Amino acid sequence: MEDGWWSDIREQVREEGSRFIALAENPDPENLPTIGVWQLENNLDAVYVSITHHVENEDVQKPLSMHIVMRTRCISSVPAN
Amino acid sequence: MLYHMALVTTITPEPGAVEMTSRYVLDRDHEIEGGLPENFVTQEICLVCLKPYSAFGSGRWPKGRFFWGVVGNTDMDPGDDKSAHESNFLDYVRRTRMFTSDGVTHLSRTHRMPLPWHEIDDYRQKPFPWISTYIGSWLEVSPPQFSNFCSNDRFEKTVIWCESRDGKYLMGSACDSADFMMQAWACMHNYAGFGAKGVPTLEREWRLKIYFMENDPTRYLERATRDFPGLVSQPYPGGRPGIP
Repeated sequence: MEDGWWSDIREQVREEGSRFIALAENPDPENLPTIGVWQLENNLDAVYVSITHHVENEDVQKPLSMHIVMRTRCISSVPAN
Repeated sequence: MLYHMALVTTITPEPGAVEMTSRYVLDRDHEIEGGLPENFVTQEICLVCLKPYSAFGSGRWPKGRFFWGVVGNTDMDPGDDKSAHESNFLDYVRRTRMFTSDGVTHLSRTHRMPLPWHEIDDYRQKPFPWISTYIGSWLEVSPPQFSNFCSNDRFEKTVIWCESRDGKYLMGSACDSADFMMQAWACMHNYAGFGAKGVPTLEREWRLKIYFMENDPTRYLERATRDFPGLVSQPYPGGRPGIP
């Protein structure tokens, strides 16, 4: 991977108004998907997970990538005894 | 308000795939009077594929345009270029597939119900509604939350995917526990279940995998079936276990 690949990925998965939680270390980014976790400052009820998978692709100069959005709803709140 | 239960999701990459598992975890030494409830809301994952740099998004999507949660999705700015939205969303639907009794089925060619929350002549209904839900062929009726925009076309495997723009790759999700799936705007939902009923709540697990591979639906299904042996039983010719 060329220099700056990590920062490139980080910038790609960033949304305006977002804050990064973590970008998992990937020992083999050409063969393993890279996982990032972040939230939007205006929606802390949802966790966003970006998964980026690199392939050689003439059509797209950037790594093949996608986003998934994990919306976890509060299902049970139990007050402290 | 203090919360003593957490939904813990583990995301594990492997070559060509990512596995996601979720379990409910109760704080150590904490007990809930009356025991844990039986019916938990399941995990909800929305796979969004329309980022401008993605091989699965439309090439017309403006570079640098953020769209989730602000604009460009369900709450589009009326001043936006509708033709660009149409191009992106419809292009995505046309590249999304599932398995029906006819084999690989293009979602754009399925019967899609008019979206009840838009006027019938709204541009988001044309040339076909931009959102549709689907249920397994083993169900007689749609769950009530989806019934008014559920297709008559039923899937036979809980596997859904999208082709890249150049047709070389696919990205999809698979499980062996869903009864319904949905394509909404530029995302796909595969509603995996939260483990078998009757199993203790804290031992129940939600599991889904996301795949990236060459665009070969047969190989994709083979790999998904290795990961989710329950897919062999679908479409449950003898009836879905747990459903009378």
